[in-house]
Amino acid sequence: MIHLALIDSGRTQAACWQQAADRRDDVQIVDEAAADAVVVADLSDATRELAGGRHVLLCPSVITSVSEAESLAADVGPVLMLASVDRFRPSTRQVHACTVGGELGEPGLLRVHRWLPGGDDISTGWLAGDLDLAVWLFGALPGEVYAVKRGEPVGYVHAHLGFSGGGMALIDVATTLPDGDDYFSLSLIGGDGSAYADDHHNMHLVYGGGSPRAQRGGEGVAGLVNLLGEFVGAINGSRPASPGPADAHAALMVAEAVKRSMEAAAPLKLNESGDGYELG
Amino acid sequence: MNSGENSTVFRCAVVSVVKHAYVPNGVAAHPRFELVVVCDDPDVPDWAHERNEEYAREKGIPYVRDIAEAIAEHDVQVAVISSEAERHCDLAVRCAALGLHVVQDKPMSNQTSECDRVVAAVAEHDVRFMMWNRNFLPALVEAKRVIDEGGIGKPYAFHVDFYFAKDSGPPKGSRGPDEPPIDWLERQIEAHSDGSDGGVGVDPMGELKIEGIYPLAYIQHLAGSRVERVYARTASHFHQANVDNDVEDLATVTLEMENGVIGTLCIGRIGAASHPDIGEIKLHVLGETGGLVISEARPEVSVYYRNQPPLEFRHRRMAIDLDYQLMEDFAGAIDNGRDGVLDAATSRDIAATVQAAVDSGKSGRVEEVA
Repeated sequence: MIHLALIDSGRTQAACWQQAADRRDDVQIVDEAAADAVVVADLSDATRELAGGRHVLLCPSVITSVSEAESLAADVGPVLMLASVDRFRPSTRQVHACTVGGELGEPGLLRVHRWLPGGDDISTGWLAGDLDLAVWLFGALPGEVYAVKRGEPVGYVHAHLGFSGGGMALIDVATTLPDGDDYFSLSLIGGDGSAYADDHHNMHLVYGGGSPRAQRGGEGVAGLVNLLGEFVGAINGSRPASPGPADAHAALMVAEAVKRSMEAAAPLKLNESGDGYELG
Repeated sequence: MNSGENSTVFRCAVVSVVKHAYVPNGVAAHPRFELVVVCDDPDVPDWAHERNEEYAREKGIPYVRDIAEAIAEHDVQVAVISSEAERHCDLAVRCAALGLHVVQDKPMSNQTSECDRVVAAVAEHDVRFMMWNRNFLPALVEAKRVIDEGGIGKPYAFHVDFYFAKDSGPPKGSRGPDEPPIDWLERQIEAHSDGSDGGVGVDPMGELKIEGIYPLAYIQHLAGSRVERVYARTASHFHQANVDNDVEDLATVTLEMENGVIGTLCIGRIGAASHPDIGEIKLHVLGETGGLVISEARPEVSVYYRNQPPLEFRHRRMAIDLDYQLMEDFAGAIDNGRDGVLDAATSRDIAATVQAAVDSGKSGRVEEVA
């Protein structure tokens, strides 16, 4: 049994963590003093807890640079896992399973739309979450990166990626929706088939006069339940969790290239050693 | 959208119909347009003559192997062109010079310089021109209504997915080491039987050139902005014919438009296994106060039954009024001496955008649209 304390659950409500833990027989939400693992949303908290020997689930958007990701890397010690719930959503897992299982053939084109309310500036760390999905699904860093932004603060970004073998991805993130629900869509076109995980496909209609309102049939806390399963598995198996610091490092490398591309209005290429991106 | 009291019927010449017949059939769907003759140049290949003759026979109209003669003898006002892609513009220029209004199949051309000739000819002879398009599909009409009524505020980003879930000959990797590369034109001629010959012509064309005008016309229609810069990734991911002829069957394009408007396009001929119907064709539009997600296929009706052929579409589009509305718009353009939807200059700009995307896919750079 893993005793998990919610020091800072970030954008995910504490109640959702509790509901997810309720659905597992190997995780229990406890007070901080009784915990052997914690959820944090701050880098210094993560560092402190790891040094103290507790396993850590870290809200991923707080890592904002490659150097910060590097500072978290460790071969031994407690488990550090990124709480990237998007990797664990049932819909995303279906797409990933079809991809790595070979049903779709060679991945060709990934399209992600993530539209959010709130008007926040789209940070590098935030963008890294969706870039992580691309790197994870293609199993490689992109060879080419081009990006476009709009607004000040930046309320819209799209990243255009090229992968070896002709794979490609387009990821747009916007924070310009009015208050209310977000929208997410992920599709992957492979050489032998395709998969579509699209909120548009999962809308119910509510009639209350005038035009009906669309109500998303959500995935509940299933993503968090799956995420906790990986966390517990890594702890019990004494193995690194996935996604971990190396995944954050990869995604942030791409995110930093996205930022540089937006500033230069030009594409960047992965260098020969594969550890950075260069203009041209 | 009503050409009003005017009931003039325009007599139309089908000037080569070697590809799909949907363009002349669409023209004839409007009561003010009557197909009266099929014609072509005498020196086109035998297979082209055979297709022209077959269409003329089907419609019960004559086939004349001389375009000028056919137009002179049949009192024609409109030319409907559906030839090989590389002949499109030359035929359009010749017909415009004879004073005919022109309805042309896609692509406008495989060369931007040819499109420039059409723009000049249409202006010089004061005739109307329309590239065939899908801008009046029910979902597009609805999208435009929402945007025009301010439903999402000022739109700033347009994203289109335009996938055709069709096969196109043998799959990539299927050619043996001793087998010759697939000849593009032969493959296209062979593909006529299943309607996947959209790229018919001598010069190989990728999916951007074959189908790109449809989604790019959507964006132009909704945004009203000209594309200035593009960045594209392209690949031959599915079909051996595309690999052998070095043309893409999958592409992504970033579009940077006038007034800071942004767009993206995902396009591909992604294989019949990839979708139960024609393919996922969607529009995502972001505005300053909202967003819009549109499925181009709707409205549709679902039909399932025992022993249903595997490739038969389960979801069938319905209430499609595209042909009538396009031709109603064109009739209005002729009546009033104004440009209609997807005129020559706009079509030329889209062709230039496509060329820039193809160039960017090869160069890896951002390309300016000429």
